[in-house]
Amino acid sequence: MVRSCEEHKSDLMALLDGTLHGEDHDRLLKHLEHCETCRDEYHWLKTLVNDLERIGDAMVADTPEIDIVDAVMSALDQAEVERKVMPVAPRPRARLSWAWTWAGALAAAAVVLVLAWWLGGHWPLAGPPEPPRVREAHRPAQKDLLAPTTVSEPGSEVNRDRPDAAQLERAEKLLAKTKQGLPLETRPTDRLGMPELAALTVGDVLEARREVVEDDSALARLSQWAALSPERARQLALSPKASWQAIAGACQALPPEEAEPLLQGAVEQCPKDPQMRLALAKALSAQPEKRDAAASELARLSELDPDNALPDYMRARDLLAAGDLENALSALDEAAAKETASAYATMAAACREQALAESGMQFDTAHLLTAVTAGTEEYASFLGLGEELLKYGEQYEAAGNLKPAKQIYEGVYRMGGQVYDGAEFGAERLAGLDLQRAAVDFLEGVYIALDAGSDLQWLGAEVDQLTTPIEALIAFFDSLNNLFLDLVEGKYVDLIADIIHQFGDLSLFDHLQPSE
Amino acid sequence: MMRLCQGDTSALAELVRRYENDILRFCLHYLREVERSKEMAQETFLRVYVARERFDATRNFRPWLLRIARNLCLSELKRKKAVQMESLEAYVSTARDMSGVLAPTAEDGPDVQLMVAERREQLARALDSLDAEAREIVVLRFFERMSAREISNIVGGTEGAIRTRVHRILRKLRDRMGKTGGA
Repeated sequence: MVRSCEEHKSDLMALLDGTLHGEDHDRLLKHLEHCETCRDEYHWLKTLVNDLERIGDAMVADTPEIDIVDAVMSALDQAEVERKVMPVAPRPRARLSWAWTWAGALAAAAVVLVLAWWLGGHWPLAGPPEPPRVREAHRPAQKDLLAPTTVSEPGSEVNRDRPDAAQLERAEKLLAKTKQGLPLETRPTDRLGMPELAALTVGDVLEARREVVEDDSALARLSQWAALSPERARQLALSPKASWQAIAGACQALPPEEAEPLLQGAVEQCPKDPQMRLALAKALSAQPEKRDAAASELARLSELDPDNALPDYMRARDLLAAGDLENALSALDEAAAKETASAYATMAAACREQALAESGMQFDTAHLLTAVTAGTEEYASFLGLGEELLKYGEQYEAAGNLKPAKQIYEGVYRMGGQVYDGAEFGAERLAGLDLQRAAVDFLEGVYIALDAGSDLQWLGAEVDQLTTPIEALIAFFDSLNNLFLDLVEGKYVDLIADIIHQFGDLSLFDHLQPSE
Repeated sequence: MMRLCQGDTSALAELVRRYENDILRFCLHYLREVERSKEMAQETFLRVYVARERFDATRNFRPWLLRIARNLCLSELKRKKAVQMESLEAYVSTARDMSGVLAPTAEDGPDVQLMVAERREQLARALDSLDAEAREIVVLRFFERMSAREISNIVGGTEGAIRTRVHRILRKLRDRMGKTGGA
């Protein structure tokens, strides 16, 4: 077969690299003997590569030699000293199953009360579970169930069956601790009082983060600073100088139909970036008429990151919305085979950081601000997805179709575990626990209705296992708060922000764990 | 690295000795300033120590090390100003002034010398017109002489995708230089 010049041209680089062999090599050389156009192209490429390599050689030849061994070792000694005065949290357990064997020993009464409160105070502490209809009466509205585990007002539905006021107070205090230090507010719509981006300093962010420990309203301030207004996001996205990362960051502040074409461009430019693909899939999923395109995008994301269960859960949600139960359950099965569910929170934080920096915020400020607020968007997003899935499950349950309802609820419970395991941030880990908490209540009802004794037993054991991660998470948030309380402006702030940006806040204490 | 993972801090000193100049040069590509690059090289080794438990012993150490250095440099660049890699035109000029490697040789006639000098000026301008990601690929492939596989380990993506990008970038450079420069 005679090859065209264009086909030969594609082999020219391989010839230059020395990676063209055998027949292809001989055929190309023969072609070059006769074809002046290709010979010219080859000559050009060779000259170009040669020039570039000579620039590189010049660079190598002129690089001074250094000896930084002593500097590194003494910095290491210094870091060790500083680290030993840092607050240290026990490392949260990676898997719920670890807790099983010693859950009994560790399950302090207060933590059990937290769980009792989670479960509406009627199970497992308050005797045998009630039948579904009664449970329905006690179950708070769906929104409440899936809302962050904040402390409820006295007299609200959730608190109706609690053991007694003193125990409850202790439980609430403990639970409230899990929320401290977490800017879990959704993006505020009231942007009055927003300082100019450029005027915001690292000191402002640090001060607000310290205030969070005592005053929840500081959370809203941090979230407000970290969120671009739609106008500003639009301005940035349309700027010819904006990087794709910044555009992806700006899209987080835009409605899906506006974000979608911008994200299409970002994905074309960065086809291997799973976070941008996930953002595009979300924007498409949010537009019901574009669910097919969303499905394709989710499939590509699964190809790119086959270990991530999140695209499968999103696919299941979209299929349930379209009434395709069979394929939705298959998607849940596929998700079940995977280890973790990740929303790529560190990558999303990097995009937000870039968007803020390119919108005029000082880089150091954007770096710290996005570090301390990272994981919160993902928290809301995981809970939103769980809420939708549970709603579909509830529809099947209400129609007497208990088996698929059970499978969907179990899917959400499993997703909670996978989110927990894949978490880079404490907020995400909390989302995992919140999802499991919500799913437990639904599962309890459907297991009772199905008279599934062994499943109920399993569920009880699972709930017992939740004590350890809750304790660990409380300790983690305490330590994180203490860390920021002790932190003074200076180089150390950069280091903390760098570690959070690179590995997530959950890794902070892994890195700061004393060696003894 | 295995020794370091087991808590032997003296192993870090050996790693620093072995890789310090490679890392300095690598950081210089991004930062262009020796002092800043030296600081980043130090910071890189501290990060290696901090993240030692995350190192996958089944993988090569060097790409992992370079990836840490790269992240630090990109972060440092963004911190300094929200811009990407600096002008390569100046970089080319600096390299030429300092070493003379890029200057035409005495054996070349005046015409050839002029043509080569002109072509390289065009190349410098074309390099500067590339986006930061493309310039990074050029630096890694042609300045650091890394293979497509090594580059993919550092910046992500597959080996094939890196090869395609290199070819595309070269074509872009050639188009931007125009054929009038002669070769």
